[in-house]
Amino acid sequence: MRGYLGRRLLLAPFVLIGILTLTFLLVNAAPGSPFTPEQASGLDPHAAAKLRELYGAQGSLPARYLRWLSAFATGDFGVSFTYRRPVSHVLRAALPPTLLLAGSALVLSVLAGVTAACVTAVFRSRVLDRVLTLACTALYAAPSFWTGILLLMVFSAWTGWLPPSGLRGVGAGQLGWGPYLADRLRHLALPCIALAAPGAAAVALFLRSELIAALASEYCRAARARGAAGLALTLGHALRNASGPVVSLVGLGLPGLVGGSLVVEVLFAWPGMGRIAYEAILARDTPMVAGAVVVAAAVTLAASLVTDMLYLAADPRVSLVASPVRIEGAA
Amino acid sequence: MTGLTGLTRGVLALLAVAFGALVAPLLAPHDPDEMVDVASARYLPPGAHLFVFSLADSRTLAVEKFVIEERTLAYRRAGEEGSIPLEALSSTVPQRRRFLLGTDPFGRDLLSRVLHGARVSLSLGLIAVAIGVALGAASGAVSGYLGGWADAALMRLVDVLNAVPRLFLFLMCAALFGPSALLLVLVLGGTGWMGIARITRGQVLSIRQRPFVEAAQALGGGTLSILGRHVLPQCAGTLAVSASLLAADTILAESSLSFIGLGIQPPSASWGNIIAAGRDALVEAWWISAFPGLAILATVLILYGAGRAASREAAR
Repeated sequence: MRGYLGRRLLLAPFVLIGILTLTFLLVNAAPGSPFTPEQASGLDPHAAAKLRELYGAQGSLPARYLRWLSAFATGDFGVSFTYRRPVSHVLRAALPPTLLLAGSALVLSVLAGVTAACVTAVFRSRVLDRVLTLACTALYAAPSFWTGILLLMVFSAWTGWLPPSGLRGVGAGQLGWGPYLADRLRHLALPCIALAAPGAAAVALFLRSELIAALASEYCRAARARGAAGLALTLGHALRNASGPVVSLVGLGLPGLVGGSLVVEVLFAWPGMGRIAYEAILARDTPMVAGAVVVAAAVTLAASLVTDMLYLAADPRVSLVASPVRIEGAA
Repeated sequence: MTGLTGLTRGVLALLAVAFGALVAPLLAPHDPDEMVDVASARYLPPGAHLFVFSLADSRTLAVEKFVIEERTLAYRRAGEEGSIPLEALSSTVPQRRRFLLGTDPFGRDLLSRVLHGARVSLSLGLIAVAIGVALGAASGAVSGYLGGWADAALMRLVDVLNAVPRLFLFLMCAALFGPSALLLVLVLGGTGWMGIARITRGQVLSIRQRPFVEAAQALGGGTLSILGRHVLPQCAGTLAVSASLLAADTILAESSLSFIGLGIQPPSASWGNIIAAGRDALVEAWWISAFPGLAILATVLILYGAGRAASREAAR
């Protein structure tokens, strides 16, 4: 088991190189190249050569590939066409909002999912279970941007309770720390719920069936004989054993979470990486998009390594080689 | 619904959806792109109706109420009273139009657009899934059957593609090649095969040691024919399960991309871009975003249900 984790850690740099290779191939397979005489007829040849050098477009294909790899290794992501600043600077500013959104959505999806699973497992086959399970099934199948639209409709447009977009209110900087925090939380609420919903539903549905199986097991019968019942039995005995696969489920949903944050960021005007990448596309800012893709993949990779370690911590007996779960995160 | 297994029910529901999409032009009450008199027809709530007069200059006049007087037509249009001389009309008999699900910001019939959107979403999903299943089954079979460096190389490729969120990858391709339906299908298919490859590989690993495969090898069958005739047919059940899950995911991904404006481009209707069109009037016209979302939800639920029933059947 520890060997598996070691292998994953050893493989991670190679996966990163693979991602860089993939992005390099895509960029170079695209038609046309910047600053060629055919594209800009009035361009001075010397200036063109200078520009090509500046944007890393000169040299043969293998030379460019090596430069691409070494540049990313040193944190140099090239220069953005639109911002005229290094891509890494722009991304550094955009990464914290994305991590805040995706991280809080991850925490919320686990908390809400586990709570719903415990409630439905304890009240199995009663009305509460039926209603919650139905709601979870619907949330699991609904695209997160649509859930977000419905949330906007109800909590922002109709009632005006929560702000529809942005990271913080105008002039939030002048507030004291208490109201400032409240303002940030109010802005975070809707995008976070929209992004967390499919994951929370997946955790709830999956953990519910795990809990029901665990509650029917011998050790839970023994616990029942000793007087444990209801929520205490579920929380104290069944949940611990059922939680291992949930960690792996969450890990498998990570790419979906990062990808989903892109759409949610666009919907809620959240100034994160997804929104930067989206705007870069509309401007055909290739270095910016490539940088965002590489960073998104690296974040996903790092997060899935962390979940592997958590899985190990949650259940030391487990073998990660053959993962029993396969749930596709809602894109 | 007694007497029907879950699988049969799932497949029947799928067929019903596919049939609905196929005959959408017959089911749709109106032309999905037709705009009659935008000023009075836009943002109509579900169930509303209008009377549409054609004018002599080939424009249309859509009104809520009308009275034909001696020389003029008195009407109420977009909440305001008005009148027009009868000579301006090419016919005094209006066409009565009912909009079951209401209208969009351009006065187009939402029901017709959702039905036509189903064709786009489902056919794109179908092609992408076909690509994904073909790639996944082929690479999984090769990987599991041959082993060695081919296996190692393919599985590392799976690791790499699994680490990249597919929406970001599509974004990059859209930036480089320009968004189009073809690119959408290729990328969705090309990034959806990894799970299928892993599952197929696992199955092939066990199947290739079974006696009938050894017999085929002893009889001198080539690798391709053994894989195609003896090994892959054994994986059909799991492939069907994975295909339905992949179809659900693909429809979700396609709708997300069309929603942010990088998938199917308006005026073509797709579920994602109809939802996007409703964003500007969430309070006054909730139905524009709500109904296509329900269509996605229903389709995805049916696909998940069919997949679950199929896997239960396969496990039996």
